[in-house]
Amino acid sequence: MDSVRSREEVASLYRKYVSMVYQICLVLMKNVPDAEDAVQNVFRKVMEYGKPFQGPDHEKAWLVVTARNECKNQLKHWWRTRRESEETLNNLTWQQPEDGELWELILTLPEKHRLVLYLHYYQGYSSQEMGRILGKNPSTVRTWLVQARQKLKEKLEVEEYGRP
Amino acid sequence: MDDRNIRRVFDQVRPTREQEEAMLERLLAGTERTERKPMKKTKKAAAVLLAAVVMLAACAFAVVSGLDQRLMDYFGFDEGEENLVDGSWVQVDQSHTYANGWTVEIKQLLADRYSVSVLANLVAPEDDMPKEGEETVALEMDVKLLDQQGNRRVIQAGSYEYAALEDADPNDREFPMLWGFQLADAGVEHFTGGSVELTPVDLVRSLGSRVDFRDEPWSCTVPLPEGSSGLSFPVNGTLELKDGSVPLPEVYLSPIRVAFVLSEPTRELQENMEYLFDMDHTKEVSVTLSDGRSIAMRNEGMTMSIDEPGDDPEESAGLLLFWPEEFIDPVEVASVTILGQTFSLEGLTPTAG
Repeated sequence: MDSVRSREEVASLYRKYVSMVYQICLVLMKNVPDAEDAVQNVFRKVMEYGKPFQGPDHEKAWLVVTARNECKNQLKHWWRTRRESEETLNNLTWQQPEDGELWELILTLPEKHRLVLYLHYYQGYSSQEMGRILGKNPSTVRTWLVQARQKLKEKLEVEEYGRP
Repeated sequence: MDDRNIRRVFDQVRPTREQEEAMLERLLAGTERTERKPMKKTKKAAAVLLAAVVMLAACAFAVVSGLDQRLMDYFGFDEGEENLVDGSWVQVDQSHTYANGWTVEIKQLLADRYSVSVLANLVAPEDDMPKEGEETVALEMDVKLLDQQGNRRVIQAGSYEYAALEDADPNDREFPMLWGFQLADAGVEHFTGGSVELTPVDLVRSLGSRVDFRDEPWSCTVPLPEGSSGLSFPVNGTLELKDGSVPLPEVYLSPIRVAFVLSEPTRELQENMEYLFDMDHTKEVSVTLSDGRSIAMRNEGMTMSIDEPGDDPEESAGLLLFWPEEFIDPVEVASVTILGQTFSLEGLTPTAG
């Protein structure tokens, strides 16, 4: 693989955005090994991307889209291997988040809902901005957000009270 | 639940500093062409980088004028039992010595519809010898599938397998190994007929540096066996899943693989992906022989591919591929079981391939 960027440039972009890219990949892939693989592929694409970014907003949006596409691509032709023993897999460095119950519920939502929840509530993107980045109508994105919140609320009620 | 709860849970799944550094190290290691840098040994690196368990197959080296003894031992064939794969392996004997002193020898290739297994021999240069008995080396290769006209056929996905084979002479510079690839692609591309182009990419060493071959590309084109040791059974059944059911038209059996071929990608199949993956295939998938003996599937070597409805129906399907605990003779299999559902093969007319 030929990198059109220097190591320093790649490392700098990596340090700046690895958390976001990893979180997106984890939200979409739902497990640590696949998320880490996807992160690698996203930053390899950074290395191969020959054009300059037009600014921080552009590079961040480019990474969101590339991470989303990388995960979608992996999930489309969905394949997994189970070459590792269960013990090895269990030893992978993964700590359940403190709010594990909520995390598990988020992971039960459809992919588009998980992504907009993350982009809106954690990255602070508006529906307008998410629409532009994801190539969707802002009203569609707004609908996804409302649906995601609603589904999460219903699931939490079921968990807490045993009924919606 | 308020917005802060959602923000907080996302914050809790940030990568750790250690994770960030390990991923960066791995990323930048991929850009190094000449600089050799020790790999950080972590469980994670082993799981993700190699994506395979490097196994040590106990065997005694012996040269035979047929399937190599080391491949026989790896797959568990006793003398005479390798007849099961007659016609589905080829002698290759191609090699290349790189400027860095390493030699890659491709000795034999065994194929069935969904997998290729290559016996390779790695010869280390005197000044870069891995520590015998302590260090494992794994050859990574790119694989391209070519049809009989030499046109490239796209492989959408697959998984690799690396296994160190026992070295008959620990004091020499040779490291025999098995390199394998199996399709995780339910499309029409199969490893029968045509050829494969194998290109060594690098060597992953468990204790030392990665040896990069990409600056000096060399490829080895191997004609694939025309025949296959596998049989396709038209079960034309229905597989009941957690939510709904899907058609199961075909079960494919070779001595070393068991495949459930789901030729119609449906919404039900898509929605049951996680259910299928979460099954404990070592317990929930088996084959039963005509003598009543049951053979389970190995914990490793399972791949799954499920295409989305709406993909080209001619080329889309689902494929659940497993590796039996011991080799099987497809004609001796009476039934296959998956998720508690047994499909009888008795009375069916199988086709080769």
